[in-house]
Amino acid sequence: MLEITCPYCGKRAQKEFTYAGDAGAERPNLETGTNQDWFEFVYLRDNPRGLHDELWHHSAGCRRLIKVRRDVVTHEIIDTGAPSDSLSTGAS
Amino acid sequence: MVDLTLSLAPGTYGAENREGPGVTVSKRHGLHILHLAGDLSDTDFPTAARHALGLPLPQLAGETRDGHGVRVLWLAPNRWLVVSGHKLETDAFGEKASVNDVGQGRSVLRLSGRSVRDLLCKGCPIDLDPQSFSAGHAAATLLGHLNVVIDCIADDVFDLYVTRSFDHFIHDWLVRAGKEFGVSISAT
Ligand SMILES: [Zn+2]
Repeated sequence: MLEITCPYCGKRAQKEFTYAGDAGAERPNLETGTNQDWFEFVYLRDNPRGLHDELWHHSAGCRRLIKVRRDVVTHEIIDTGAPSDSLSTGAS
Repeated sequence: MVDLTLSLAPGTYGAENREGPGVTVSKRHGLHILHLAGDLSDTDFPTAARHALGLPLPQLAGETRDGHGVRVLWLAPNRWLVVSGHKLETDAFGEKASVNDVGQGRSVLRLSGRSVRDLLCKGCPIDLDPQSFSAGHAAATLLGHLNVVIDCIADDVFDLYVTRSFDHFIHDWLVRAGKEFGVSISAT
C-alpha cells in the first residue's frame, strides 16, 4: 500500500484515495477543438516508464482532487500538491 | 424522531474480562449536526461564522474546537461539521455560507474504554497513536470500508460519525473486531 501525502490532510493511506487519471491531459478548446483533438483527449494516454503526474481523489478524506507525481516503475511518490501546483522533479 | 435503524441488542459481546469490557459503545442522541461550507478568504464569512458559533472556525487540518455547547470539526479546506446540543439558526452564518442540516443522516456513536484505540486500529488506516491523534483531533477517514468521521474527545474516548443506514453494520463490525477485548453495547 502506498502512503500519499494529501496537501490538505497530511499523510494518508492509499486506501482513502481513488485514482482519477492523467493530470497532464489537456482539454481541447471548446470553440476550436477538432474531433481528432477530442478523441485524443478522451481516449489516448501516454504510457511512460518513470515519472507520471496523476490526479487522485481523496475520496474518503477531504474529497479534494490532488496531483501526485509518481514513479510508475518503483511506485515512489516524488511530490504531491493541489492540481494547479507545479511539482518538484525529485532531483535535489 | 422514530429510530428506524436496527441496532444490536444491548449487552456484552466477546471476551469477558475481570476489569470489564475493553470498549463501551453508546449512541449519542439529540445532536444537531450541520455541514458548513464557506470561503475562509472571504472577509464576511469567517466573521459571520464566528458570531453564529460563538467561537472561531478551526483552520488546521483535523483540528476541532468547542465551547458554548458547540463542537466544530475541520473536515476539509473550507468545510466543517458543526455539532451542537441546541439548534443553531442556519441563517446566522450569513449569505456567503452554505449550511446543510445533516443530523438526520448520521448516527453518532460514543466509544470509550481502555481498548478503544486498539479496536479502531483494526479497521482505520490513519495513525491513531496518542502522540499523533489526541483530544482536539478529528479525521474524515475509513473504518472497515465505511466513510466515517472519527473525533477524539479524550485519550480513550472517541465519537464516531457514520451514515445512519450503516448503523447496524458498524455495531456488528465493532463487536466482531472487538471480540478479543469485550465490547459492551449500551441500551439506546
Ligand atoms: Zn485530503
